[in-house]
Amino acid sequence: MSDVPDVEPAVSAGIGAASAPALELRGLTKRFGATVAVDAVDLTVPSGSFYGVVGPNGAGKTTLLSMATGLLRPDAGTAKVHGLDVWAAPLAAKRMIGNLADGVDLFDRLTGEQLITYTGMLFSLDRAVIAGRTRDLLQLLDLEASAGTLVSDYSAGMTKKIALACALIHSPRVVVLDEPFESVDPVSAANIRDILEGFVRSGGTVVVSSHSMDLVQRMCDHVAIVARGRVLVAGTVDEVRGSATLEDRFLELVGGRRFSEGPEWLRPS
Amino acid sequence: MVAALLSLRFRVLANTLRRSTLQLLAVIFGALQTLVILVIVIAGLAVLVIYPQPVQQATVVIGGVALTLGWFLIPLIATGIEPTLDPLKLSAFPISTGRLMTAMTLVGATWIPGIATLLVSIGTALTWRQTPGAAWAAAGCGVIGTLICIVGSRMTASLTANLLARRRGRDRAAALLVALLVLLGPVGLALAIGVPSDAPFPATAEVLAFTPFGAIWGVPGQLAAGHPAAALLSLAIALATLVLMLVIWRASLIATFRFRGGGAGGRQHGAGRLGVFRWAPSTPAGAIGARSLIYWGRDARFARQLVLVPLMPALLILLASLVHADWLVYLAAPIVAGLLPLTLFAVISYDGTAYALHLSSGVRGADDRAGRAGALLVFALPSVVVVAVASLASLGAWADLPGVFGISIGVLLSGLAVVSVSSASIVVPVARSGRNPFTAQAGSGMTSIVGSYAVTGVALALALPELALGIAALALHSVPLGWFSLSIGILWGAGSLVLGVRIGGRILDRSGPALLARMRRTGG
Repeated sequence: MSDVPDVEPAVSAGIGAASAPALELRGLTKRFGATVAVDAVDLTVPSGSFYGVVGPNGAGKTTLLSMATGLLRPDAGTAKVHGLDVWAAPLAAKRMIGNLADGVDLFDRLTGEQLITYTGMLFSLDRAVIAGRTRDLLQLLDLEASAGTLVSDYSAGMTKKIALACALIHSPRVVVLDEPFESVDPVSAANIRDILEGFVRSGGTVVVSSHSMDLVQRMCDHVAIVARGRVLVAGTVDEVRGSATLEDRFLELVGGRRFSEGPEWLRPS
Repeated sequence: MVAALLSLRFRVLANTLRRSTLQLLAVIFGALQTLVILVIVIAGLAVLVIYPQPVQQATVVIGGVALTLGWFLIPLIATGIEPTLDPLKLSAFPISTGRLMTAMTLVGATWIPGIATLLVSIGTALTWRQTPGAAWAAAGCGVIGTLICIVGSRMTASLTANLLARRRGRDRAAALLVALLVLLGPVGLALAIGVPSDAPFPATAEVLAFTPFGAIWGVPGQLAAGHPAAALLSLAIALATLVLMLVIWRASLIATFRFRGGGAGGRQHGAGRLGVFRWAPSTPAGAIGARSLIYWGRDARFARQLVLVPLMPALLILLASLVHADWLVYLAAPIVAGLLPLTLFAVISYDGTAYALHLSSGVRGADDRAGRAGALLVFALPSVVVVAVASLASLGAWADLPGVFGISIGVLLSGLAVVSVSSASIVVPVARSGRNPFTAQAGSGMTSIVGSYAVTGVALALALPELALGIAALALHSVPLGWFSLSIGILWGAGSLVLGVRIGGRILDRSGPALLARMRRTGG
């Protein structure tokens, strides 16, 4: 099948111990002034799992994932990718991570094709390899028609997709995606899901954060519920949700649900 | 409504300063510096009273024109000198264009440069204090003059922002050129008439007093000299200028709302246009170099700074011929060589949060530094050579070429060495990519200015060997000494650059995540 992209996890990256978990966070802590954004979080993402991180707004998901991928230096704690410490051996560790960060801009004065190429070159990939993978990724994400358009002219969904392509170009072993489906149209979301599921089937690990409980319940095999900077519960999806749906379990754990019809002035008739 | 907008702007300023001590210090330093200049200028205006009338008039008018042109041109060249209410951000609220314009003008008048301009303009009354009528007129004209400055600067900023929103490089360059000609044309005319006469300065000032930028500054002097009709004509020209600028500014703001409110929807292009990436080596440094080059051409915030390269030598050659001081021409190439690296002194700020890509790709700091420095050298080196040759050609002083090369290339390389280190630890708030490049964030102007001073100082100290040799070569007209300064400039400069890249790289390896965290907070 020529459609299958070259994004299988690199077998050659045998640096980390084979048995080590894909992502191992121990005591990760981050304070911003007086607020504790992430409070001594422990989390183990088994190799080959499709891991969902869910939580309400401001729960610390983005901060946690930023520390795990080397974007934000933790105040305390360690983050290891396949046994390699992200903050002690950043170069080797980051070669194994594909990262789609939330709330950061892209180099949007490049065209989509240039941006993917740029990312590949930052990893010193061979030029022919970059060209081939770029072609595959653009086709897979349905971006071929706008490959030569500046990223600043992309819609929000297209921007997400091109960022995803950048996260995959160096064929990582672990893919960490912060809100990958936000403002992505349903067709593209389904395509992205197929790519990620294929990636997990061939031995890769995916970590996604999302607001969508349905999506996580359908897509992921593991899930962690995060709120107020802590992991409330983590495990396989079936363990976490028990007999209820993930959404019910989430609301029960996180709380804050209001049973009212809203203020009177907001009822038009 | 206007009051609400004003208080919003000061709330934003206060919050920014409370969060960043560095920016607070920069603002305080900037205010002190302005205060010192203010005292000197006003004292100068007061002392001017003892000079003959033509000298008074020439000084006030030429000074006023320089001040006005500064207000018009600085938004084009420097990274936002002033915080602004961004019309685009406010477009969702029901605010009339007129109120927005009033608020933006008042914001300009209530911040350090505006206050200083107002005080200096009213201070011209001190010069005319022996003629009470002229002194009162000077105070009134000072207020109008300040308005012309602020409105003019808003107008050029708005026009240029609209223009830069179009991404065609050639369109932008052409329109910028036209704008510069419109701005500088009257001044050029005044120089052409004034310079050949017996008293160049008063003669030039006399013409300037009837041009849009000089008219308001000429009124008190014309009254003092007993030409009320001339004064009335100048006043009319000044008021017409102000009204015309208000009309243009208004039209430009409306165009902003109409055409740039949307966002997406550019033309679609297929793959296959890699540009510089095609031939750059596939390494982190090569990639970053190629990307920097693309940004220099495509990103308004960088492209704007390239205006300096032709403008600086042209102004210096003009000035040199005006005051008959040939040595000014020698400064052209070294100044361009010094200013170009300066544009990178906080270069990571321009990446904004997109810098996250470098962090998540594990780019080594030294590769980052080398790529950016290399990209600048690709066009800075030829520019400096061309400027050096062109400026000396205007004098026919070919024997001095090696010495000027030595100084310029030395300054360029040591400047790059210093900014390679400084930009590894400094981020200043700048307009985000793709946004109006003139919506500077509070305090960024001051931080940029203070930072630039520090960087320039260190770079000059670093370039001392070739500077000393080059200046000696020029002073003694010694060609061998010139060649010696050139070789020292290249060797010592290249050595400093390598060291700067290494040190800056090591700092960046440590500070990268903190820089990103800071940009995430300020960029929002």
